[in-house]
Formats: sequence, C-alpha cells, structure tokens
Amino acid sequence: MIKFVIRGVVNEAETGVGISGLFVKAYDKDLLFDDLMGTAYTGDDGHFSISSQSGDFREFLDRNPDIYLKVYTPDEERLLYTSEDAVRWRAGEDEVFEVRIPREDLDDLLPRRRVQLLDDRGRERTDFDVGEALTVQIEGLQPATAHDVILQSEDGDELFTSRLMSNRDGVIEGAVLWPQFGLSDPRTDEALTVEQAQERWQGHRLNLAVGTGNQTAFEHEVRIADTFSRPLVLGTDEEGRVVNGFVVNEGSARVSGYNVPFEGRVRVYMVPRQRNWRMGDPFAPVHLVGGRPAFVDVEVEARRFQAVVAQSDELAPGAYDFIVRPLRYGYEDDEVFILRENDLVTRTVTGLVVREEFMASKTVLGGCVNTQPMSGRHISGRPYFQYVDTFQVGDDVWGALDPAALDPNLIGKAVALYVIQHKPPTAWSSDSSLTHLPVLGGNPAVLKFVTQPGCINYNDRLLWPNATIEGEYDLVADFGNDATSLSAFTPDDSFDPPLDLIDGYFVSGFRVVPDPTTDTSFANCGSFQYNDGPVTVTDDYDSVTVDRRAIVYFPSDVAGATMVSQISTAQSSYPVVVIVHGNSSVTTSYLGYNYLLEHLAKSGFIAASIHLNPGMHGTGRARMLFQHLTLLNAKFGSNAANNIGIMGHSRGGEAVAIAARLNHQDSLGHNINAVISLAPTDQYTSENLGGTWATPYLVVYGAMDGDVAGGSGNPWNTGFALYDRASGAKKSMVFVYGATHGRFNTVWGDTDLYFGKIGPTDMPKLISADAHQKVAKGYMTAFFRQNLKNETQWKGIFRDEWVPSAVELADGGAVKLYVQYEDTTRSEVDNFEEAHTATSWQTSTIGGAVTDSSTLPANPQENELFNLDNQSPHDTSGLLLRWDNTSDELRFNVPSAHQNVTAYNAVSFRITQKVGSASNPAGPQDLYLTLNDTTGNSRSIKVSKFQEIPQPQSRHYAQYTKSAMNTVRIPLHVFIIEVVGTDQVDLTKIESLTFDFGANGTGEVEIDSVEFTE
Amino acid sequence: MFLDLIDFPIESKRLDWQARHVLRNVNQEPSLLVRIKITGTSFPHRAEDPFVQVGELRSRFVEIAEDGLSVNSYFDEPLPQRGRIEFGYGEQVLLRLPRRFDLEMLDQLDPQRLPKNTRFIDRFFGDGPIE
Repeated sequence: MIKFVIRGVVNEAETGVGISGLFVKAYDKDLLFDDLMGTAYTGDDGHFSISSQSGDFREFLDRNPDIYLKVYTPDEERLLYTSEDAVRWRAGEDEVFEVRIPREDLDDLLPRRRVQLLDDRGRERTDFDVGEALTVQIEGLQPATAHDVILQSEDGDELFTSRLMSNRDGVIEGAVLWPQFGLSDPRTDEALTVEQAQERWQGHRLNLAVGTGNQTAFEHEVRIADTFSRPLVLGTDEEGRVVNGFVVNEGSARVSGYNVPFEGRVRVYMVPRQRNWRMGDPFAPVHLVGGRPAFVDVEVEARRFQAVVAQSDELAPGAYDFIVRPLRYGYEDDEVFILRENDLVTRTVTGLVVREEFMASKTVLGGCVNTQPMSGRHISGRPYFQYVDTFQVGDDVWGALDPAALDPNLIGKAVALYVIQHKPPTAWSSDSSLTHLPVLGGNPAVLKFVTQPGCINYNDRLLWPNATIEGEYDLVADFGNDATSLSAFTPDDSFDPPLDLIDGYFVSGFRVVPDPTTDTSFANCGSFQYNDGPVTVTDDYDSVTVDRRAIVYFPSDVAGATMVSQISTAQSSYPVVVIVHGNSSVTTSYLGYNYLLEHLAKSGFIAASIHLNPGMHGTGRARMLFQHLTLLNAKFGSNAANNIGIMGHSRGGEAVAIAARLNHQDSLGHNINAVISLAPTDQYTSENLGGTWATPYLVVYGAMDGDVAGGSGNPWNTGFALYDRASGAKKSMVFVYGATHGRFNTVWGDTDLYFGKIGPTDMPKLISADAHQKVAKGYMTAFFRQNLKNETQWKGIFRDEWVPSAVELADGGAVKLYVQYEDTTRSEVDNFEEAHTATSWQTSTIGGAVTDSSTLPANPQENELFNLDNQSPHDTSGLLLRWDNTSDELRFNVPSAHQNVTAYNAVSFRITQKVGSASNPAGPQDLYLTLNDTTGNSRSIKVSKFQEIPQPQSRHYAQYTKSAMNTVRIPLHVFIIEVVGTDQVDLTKIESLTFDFGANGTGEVEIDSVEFTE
Repeated sequence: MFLDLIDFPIESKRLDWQARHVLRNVNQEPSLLVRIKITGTSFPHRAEDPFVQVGELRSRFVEIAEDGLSVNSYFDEPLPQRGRIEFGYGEQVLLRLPRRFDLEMLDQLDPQRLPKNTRFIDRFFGDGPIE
C-alpha cells in the first residue's frame, strides 16, 4: 500500500495572502468516474494537507493517481476553483500545489484588512498636520512578508515607497512612514518652511497603496487637514525650515513653535533625548559647554515663537529634545521638572542631534564595524576557552563565538568562520570580499556551524591546526543569508557589517609568529674584535686598569664580513646591545656569548661583548660598559643608534643594573631601553632599578646555579632580589629549572658544577648547554626585539603565555621554566608591604578587609618572605598561609572605589609552594581563584588551567632549594564569557576575590602581588 | 668528581698565611690596612666575592692574584689577638688554615714613616690620621 500526500496553499492571487477555512477536495482523474482521494480545510495561513492510500483509488492498471483539486467555500457549497483542466498526471507520492484565487471570487472570505493612521501618541487619526509623524498600522497581510507601502499624490505621482515587513500574524505594527510629514517634498528633496508646507499640502488627499511585487493589495486614503491647528515644536533654521541635526560647532539650537496653545512667556528647555514622552516623566535641562543649564524664555505672539536655546559653541555632541512650558509668574525659578499635560514636547522625531565629526575620527566604511575577539585556544574543562591573539608557528588556532557577546538575533544562526589575511580599514573600503586561506582549502572549505546559546564551548572550533605560515590574520564570522540551518545557509564570501563580525579590522585579529630563538631577519653577519688599549676606571673598592677589548657582531649583506663598512645597508642604523660578562679566572670570558651575539646581529642589532679583568666588581664593570659604548659609537658612527640594550651575566648582571643608574646620575646620555640580568649577583650596591632610571627589565636565572646559588643572608644574593626591587617599568623573570651558572657562557661551561654547591643528585636534573643557549637566544632576543625594535608580538613570552618552541623542545622537552611578570598598568589589591603585625594581613593594600572566614587552621602571616621562610630567595613581603580542608578560603574584599576592573585584562598574583612543607603534594599545587560581584554572581577558575604552581626543584644541598614565586595571570575575559553552569561576573562591580582551596585538601604557600593588571 | 665526599671547609697543611701592614688608597686617601696573604692552593675567580675571616672579623675586600696561586685579603678593622683564618666565597666557607692567626706575627709599618694623612683604624696606633 503506497501513501500519497497532497499538500499546498490557497492564496489570494493579488497579494499572496493565505486564505483560511476553505474546503479542498483532491481527485484522481479516471476514464469513467473520478475517485475522491481526500479532503481538508485550509489553516490560518492557507495551507492544507491530504493523505491518501493507494487502495482508496487504485483500479486495474492504475499505478499512480492523476490529481486535480477543487476548492469550495467553508460551507462546502460554492466552488471557487478547480484544476480539472490542468490535471497533474501520474503524480508522485508527495505533490505540492499553490492555488491562487482572484480577489473578486473571494468576497467576504478575505482576511480582515485594516489600515490605521496613528498620531505621535499611538491614537488613531483621520487626518494629519504638517510636521507630524505619519504612522501606519496595517493588518490582514501575508505573514512574514516584505510589503511595499507607497504614498502617492492625488494625481498618482509616487512620493516615496517604504518596504516594511509584516510579522507572523500578517500585521505591520505602528511604522513611521514620514517622520515630519510635509516639511519637505520627497520628489525633489526641497526643504520647506512650515508655512510653505502648510500651503503645499493643505486639504490634499494622498493615497497609500500596499502590495507585494507589482501587485497592489489594497489602498487607503490619507487626508491632510484643511486647517492646521495642532501644536508643533521643532528645531528650525531662522526661516523656519526644519533642522534636526548638524555637526558640532556648525549650528545653534534654534526652536520654533506653531499653534502654541498658550499666550505670554514660555520657557523652552533643551533636555536629553527620550523616546515616547509621557505625562509625569521627569526631565532636566542639559548643561551646556559653559556650564549653564539649557533653557531660554521667550514670548509667544500670534501662537508662534522662535528661540535660540544654545549657541553653536555651547553645544556638545548629543541627542536632545525640547520642552515648552508656559511660565507662571513668580515661579520661574521654582519649577518642578515633571512633564505636565499641557507641556509641548518634541516627540517621535528627536528635537536635535548634534553629531561628532564623523569621518575625521572614524575610518570605517559605512561608519560601523563589529569587532570582537574570536581567536584563541581551547581549554579542556571550564572556562573552556581563552582568547589569544599571538600564536607561534606550529600552534593550533581556535576560534569561538561567545554567546554572551553575540547579538541575540545571531544565536541559532548559521555562520561561516573565515581565516583571512589581515588588511587595513582602507583596504576593506575598496574590497569587502573574503578569501579563506588557501592553505586551509579556500572558500569551499570554510568552516560552518549554527551558533548555540548557553556556553562558549558549543561555539568553539579548531580553525587552523598546526598554523604554519607566519603573518597577520583576521577572523570573520560571515552570517551570509541569515539562515537558521546549515542546509539553508549560504555564506556570501563577503564581510558585511553590521551583520557580520570580525576579529581584526583595525589591528590584526591574530598573528602567527616565528620562534625568536631561530628567527632572523639578516642572512649574514660580520664580526671583528678590537683592543683600543687600557683605561682606568673606578670600581667598588678601588680603581682598576683594563684593556678596552671586545668582540662585535653586526648585520651584513655578505658572508664573512670583518669591517664596519660592511654593515648591511638595509637600515640606516641599528640598535646596540652590549654584553657584560661576570667574574672568572679566565680572560676570555667575553668570547663565551658568540652564539648569542651572532643571533642578535642576524636579528638586526650591533652586538658586542666586552672584556673585563678577573676580580672586577659591579661598578667597574658598569664603567667599562660606558667606555665601550663610546668606542662603538665612534666605530659605527650613525649606523649605531642611540637605542641601547644591555645584558650582564653574574657580576655583570648586577653591573647592568648599576649602569642604568649611573647613566642617569652622571647624565651620560645613553638611551638604555632594555636591561637583562642573567644569573646576577646582588652583592655590591643593592640596586633598585627604578625611579627615574626605571627600564624594562628581564632576569634569567637557573634553579641549579652552582655559583650564585643563594642559601644564606637576607635577602639571598640572587636575581630574585634584584627583580623584586625593580619598579617603574615592565619587568619579567624567567626561572629555569635545571639551568646552571656557567653553561650560558661557552667559555665557562661546567665550572660551577665543581664549586661545592651542586651535588650528585643534582646532576641528572641539569639541562644541557644547548638548552641554556636556546633559553638565552629565545628570551633575550625577544626582549631586545620588543623593547628596542618595538615588536609587540613577543610580549606574551614574558607573561608566560607561550614558550619559544626551540626552548620547549630542547633536551627532548625537558626544559621547564616559570615566569614572573609585572606590568606598569595595575591596581594592587594587596602587596603585603604595610607595617607587619600579627593582624596586619587582615587589611589589604587598597584598604579592604581580608578574611579567612575562620576556615584556615592558623592565621596567615604577613612579613618579609625571608623572615617567614628561610628557603625564600625574595626581597619582598608576602603572605604565608596553610590550609587543611577543601572548604578553606582566603577572601580579599575590594573597596567600592576599586570595584570597576574593566580597565584591566587580567587578575594576577605571585605564588610558591613553601619548600619542605608536608602540606603540599608531591607535584604541582592547585587552587581556585574566584571573583565575586556585588550582585551575588561569582565564578571560580582553577589556577592550573592557566599556570602551574610547581613543586620547587630540590637541590642536593637543601639550603639552595628555593621557595621561588611565579606569576599566575588569569585573563578577566574568562570570568565574563558564557560558560554553562556558572555565573557571568560583572567586572564593573567586583566585590571580592577569593582564593578557594578546593582543588587540593592541604597546602602551604606564599603569595604576593595580588592585583588586577594589563 | 667525588666533590660531594668532601666536607667543607677543607683544612690542609699546605695552606699558609702571612700578615703585614700595607698602605692602600681607599677613596683616594692613603689608608693603613692589614693584609693577610694566603697561599697553598689555586684560588678560582667566582661570581660571589671571596672573603677571608679571622675569627668573626671578615675582610673588607680580597684580591685573587693573576696566577690564582694566592689571595690578598685586606682588613680595615682591628684584628683579634688570635683567631682561626678561613677563606670562602659569598657566605660559603671553603678553606680553613691550620695555623691560627697571631697578632704577634704581623709585620708592622713604622707609623712615623707613613704619610701624614694616612687613615687607619688600628689598635696599635689609635684611631684617626697620623699627626
């Protein structure tokens, strides 16, 4: 038995409106007697459906029906339509019919049609005055269909056409057709004064025609009043032509009133724009640029007035309405700013818009582009996704559309995500086409899905696995034909704001960058040594005479260059990097960084390593640095830019911090823009790299240093103290597990392995000399490129957002390093530096209460970290705390003045496991950071999703094992993206942040630098 | 090799010392200091500053000879009458000399022959410049 379905719709022929309640019969045409296959009544939208089994009609040799329809009135009496003369022979199992019946045959069967003309307040009108808003509401249309609404003059000329969409009920609801009716002639765009408009339109009868395509469904008359009597207030020019807006400083706020229903003096207020004024609404005059409130008193004569409320130089950009109120004698200064029944107000049309200069400040074609972050990395588990804009070659690039950031109309819509080459706004202006990267398969391979509500996890996709091509890219979400299913979706390969979204446009959405460890911009470099004879400089205890000897590398266009004149002509000048070695018994220490010098030269620097005598201290090394800067400037002339980076190792690492100070104090005039201390001592001058000589600072230090190992004194003599004391510029410290002192210098090698600080159980933990060199090349080159060449793509390295791949892969992936970072843009919650008492931990730096809610087994202790923990290498105060239950917590309340953290990108703190504490696990520690807002919403983020709180690397000689803090940075956007099952936090109202110890049942840590930061 | 089997500080009879008064310019002024010279091994240069201490008193600065075979340590404070002499880097004591310091063994300069403006802090001459 075969089932046949006959379905379709019955429409009014002229408009396409579906007719409900009609009786439909389907027949199988036969030679003698036609078989009735079934009947149905049309539904609300005119649709019908009839099912029939083959046994109902099949006769001998009759395999498929030959179908025709008959349509009757609802009482089944009168035949309206038949297709008997157009039989559908040998019909299929599913046949669709569209029946169009002329209007004249339908009579009262047509749906109820009604056109209402409405006034400003939504009341029905039969006629209109000029200046009013002509508003229509139309019922009885085909549902969800675009209709042309045409306004015609009496002689049939089209004044204008509006295309309006009917809703699902076939209604066009209250649509303003002509905002200020009659004040211009749409045919000529001629602006008319109110008087001219009255004269032009008075007593006319216009025609409103509604239809689809070329068919007019129905018409309606619009009458214009014979006499104009209704009050009218509007912005005008001096002659009375309407002026609704202008660019700031290009006009004054002039108001005209007509048919004013009261005599005498009135006060005209200029107030902030409000839609749909109603009696009882509060209002207040705006304050003009000079500070005075915006109102003016004026006399009404012959029911008219004109007044200037504000001169052009008093007007700030904004949207304003005007309110006219009769003055009550004696009450002029005692007005109640509540809208009264007899106040006149500009209603549907905004009284006046004062625009900012648009194109002067906005370079966007069309004036609008929706940018939002999309590129990032997928996170396993909450919060599922992190926005990222820098990827290293070989990384996976993901993209996500956060439902919380999408326009609700875009939820449930099909979208295509294009990965395209970045192009600037000017290029978009001439070409909005989208070209999905060829390496990803081009436009046919663009990835499509339907956006889902509820969680960003539903809308993230792997877009570019193993991104291989360096460059700058944008991500575009193309909503194409605005479809709700993939089957109906067609991307249009074009970026069409405002529907489509872009991650990019002004700056690139994301970039794929090379590894700074291996990336170079010059194929060749030259090299030479010089010895310009001895010079005597003062040192910390005495003076010392030193040969001015150095080795120099420089970018070159030829291989094997040895002369300054062979410097590359690619640039007119190059930044200068000088390396200051540390103390050693050998006199060739300065030759131990050639691997780094060569890489720096090929990266576009003039790079030199200078000789220093054995036994020299900190200040003497700094003085020699300046001697060589002078020599290098003389040798390279204008090729050497006064844009200098300095790197010192060991005693040299302390010396470069001294040099930054001396350069300032002695007014030496060197532009030192980057300072790196490699395994520095901190034994001469207790330097504070800060204040007026604050400089971007990087410390690199090995956890297995056999020379500068710490272990005694307060603070310990290591780079941690130098890092802690540095301030006033961005700073970062890379603590490298397994790194020694000497392996960064190829001449020194393993010398410090035999200084008595590295024991046999340490040896397997040491990383190779090759790994040391990769750490130095990767991090130091990136640091100098960032700070001397303004290459911002490397900043993520110093926030530990990514690790150069050569470092990551060194020694088979055995290199672990942990990073501290401090930005100059930050709002400290607690730095624990206030006077220390047993209870001082209970108040934070910003004056908020700190509480453990009586959960911790003992009160936290706030003090200098070296006083709290003799394994701490730090020179800063912090908080030592221990927990013994997953319900334990420590909460920092945020005072109201600091609760808006939207100016920052991350919440950050430093933390270390306390060495030797039995409370910590054998491995990384973990905890949650929770942000709570004032409305009761909160979200907890597991720290390990972003950063490890590592187990301290233990040393054979236990006194050298360090409670070394690293920085945890959690991007604030992970607290506001939509994540299923958790609140979104209001970053304008952060009431508190809480360390929740629910990840591990016990622990003992030291924390510092709790802050919101860039 | 086998470094972990060594118990620091090393005490060896090969280590010896000599003490004498010397003049050094400190802050551009002639200063009378006590120099203790240690010999008997090779002294490497390291990042951390070397030191010599006599009992509790630590040297003001130490210079390792160019050939590394001796160190000169300089004291600008009164030395104890007797005391143990030790050498190390940073805070780490590596060598302990078997022969104890004895002030009687100090080779002294003749105060009458020193420059008039010599500064010193020495129990034999009293504080302040030589008149």
